[in-house]
Amino acid sequence: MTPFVFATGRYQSGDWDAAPLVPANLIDSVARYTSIPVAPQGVVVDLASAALFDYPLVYCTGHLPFRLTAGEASTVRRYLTRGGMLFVDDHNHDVGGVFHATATEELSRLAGPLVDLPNTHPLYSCFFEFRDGPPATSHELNGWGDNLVHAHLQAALGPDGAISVLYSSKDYSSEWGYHPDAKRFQSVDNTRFGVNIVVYALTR
Amino acid sequence: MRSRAEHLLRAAAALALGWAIWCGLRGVAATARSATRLGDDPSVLTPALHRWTASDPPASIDLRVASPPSAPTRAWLAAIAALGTVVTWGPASGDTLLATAIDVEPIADPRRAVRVGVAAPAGRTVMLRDVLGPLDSARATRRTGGVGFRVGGPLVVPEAVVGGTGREATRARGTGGDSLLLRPVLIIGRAGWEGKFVVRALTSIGWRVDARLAVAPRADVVIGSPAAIDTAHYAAVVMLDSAAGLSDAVRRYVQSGGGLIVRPAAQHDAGLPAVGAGPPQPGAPTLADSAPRRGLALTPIDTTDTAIVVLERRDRFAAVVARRVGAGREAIEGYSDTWRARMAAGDDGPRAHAEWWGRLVSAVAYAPVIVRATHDRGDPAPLAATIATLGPPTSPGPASDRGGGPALPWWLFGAIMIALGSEWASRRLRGAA
Repeated sequence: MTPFVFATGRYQSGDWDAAPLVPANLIDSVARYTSIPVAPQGVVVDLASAALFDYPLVYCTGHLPFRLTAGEASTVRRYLTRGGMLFVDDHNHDVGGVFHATATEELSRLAGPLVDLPNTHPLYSCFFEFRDGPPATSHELNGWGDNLVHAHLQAALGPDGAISVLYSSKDYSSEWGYHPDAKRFQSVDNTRFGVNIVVYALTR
Repeated sequence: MRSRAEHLLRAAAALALGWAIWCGLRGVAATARSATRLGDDPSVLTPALHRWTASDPPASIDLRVASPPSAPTRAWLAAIAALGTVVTWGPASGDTLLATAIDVEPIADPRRAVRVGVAAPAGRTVMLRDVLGPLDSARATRRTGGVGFRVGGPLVVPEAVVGGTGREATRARGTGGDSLLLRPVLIIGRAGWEGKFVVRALTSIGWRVDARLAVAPRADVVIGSPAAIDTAHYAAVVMLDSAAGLSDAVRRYVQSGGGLIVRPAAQHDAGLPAVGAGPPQPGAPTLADSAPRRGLALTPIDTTDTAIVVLERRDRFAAVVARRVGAGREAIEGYSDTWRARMAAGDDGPRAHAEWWGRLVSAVAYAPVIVRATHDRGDPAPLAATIATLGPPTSPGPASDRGGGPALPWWLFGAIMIALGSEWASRRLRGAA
């Protein structure tokens, strides 16, 4: 069985590499909590590249405008149609920010409207149980960014009802952006929801 | 004494002449029911059948056809033959009657796909159609003795038309056929892209799927409502990789009639005798749209066991094989990560991936037949049915040769002439007038 490879999407606009520690942290969590074979190193994949199709789950983040070139948009559209899943996180945690405005527009254009994902969705129970929906981040609770605690993630659903684009305004990129060794200082591992995203992508 | 003999000869001649006259009169009467030859033009044949049913049929009917007569025409002619009419039939001059037969068999496919086999002479074009119109066509080959079609949905009055589209075409008509009871498919394996996309593939073509995908020790992601592994619950079980603890259940399931698809590495968990596998072979560098599985890594299956049937080859390697196990069937699939063909092999990748998995499941699935009660038995082999009903075809001959009135025997004329000549000569020799 080929191991799961965590892929970070590289796009030409903005700062795609704004959260370089997130991949290693999530890889560590997947290996720590599950028996899913996982590659120890993540990869970076261009959104316009045919290599995108080798990674059915791709994580994107950034602070700056998220605008896709024609080549990126074409490849991403085909990627989503064939069953790929994008997880896009707003590193600004600001619904008034440029990343949110541009990313939601681009993603809606490619995958259909983003709708609030109900907190009873299997995403929140496929491995760890999150009865209240997406866990809040410290940035939300501290009033930074848009000063909101977002009750829901947003998603575009494919024709079979599965998530094709998962969009977060909660800034998990900041929440999970630390060295995996630092997990031992936390009473509750805040990357557990990241494991749910990976497990959901691998099974639904 | 001589005079008495002359009287006897004269009486014999008179009797023979009387018999000849009786024969002649009977022939005239029979001429009213004379032999009839006609073709298969419905505008002529159908009114004639009506007429012969309502009044005396002819003594004989010779039907010359461009194609085997339809089932109603055959039955009608058989009924007329039962009344004493001699019915013969055969090809009209210059025509050849085509031996054709159709067989429609349901496939274990949720879209109610069917497999249609048509027997036809080599080189002839076979068109498959149903009441909604033409579906497909192909040329019959000598090797197969006909043509095989796979239709992805139900057929309403399927018909194979062989040898053109006019009256010379032979039409074999099947029935919609029986259907199959299809239970869900169970997918067992570890969480990963392969399991996810096999579930999607089978779901997209209509299969109901239960899945148990292991994420961690004692933690599975469950899709649907997995039940006990037996033929009452599942049409097929797909074991993508190890599924420890299920070997007894899977073995019992297959031996009692279930279908299993298993990867070489998972064979030991299936509880069945393992088939050997060779060293993994890399795929082509790129995944082509036209042959998406060429780009996949392959574990070749050992085919030395004569009970194994190869379902798919890649170059000299057996990629997918099947065998019977007890009352069930097992397919061993050697490709790795078939999801890559879905994702990377062109825009048709998802559909092709789903169809391929659907065929694999269909090949092994346990699917009890639901017999459909119908009076329509179709006309699956019209030429054979015509021969069975009316006898073998005959060559056309003069109509008067068959079934006319009784002819005057040639020897009767000779006997009359001999009797009269002898009587006359006797009288001349003895000088009587």
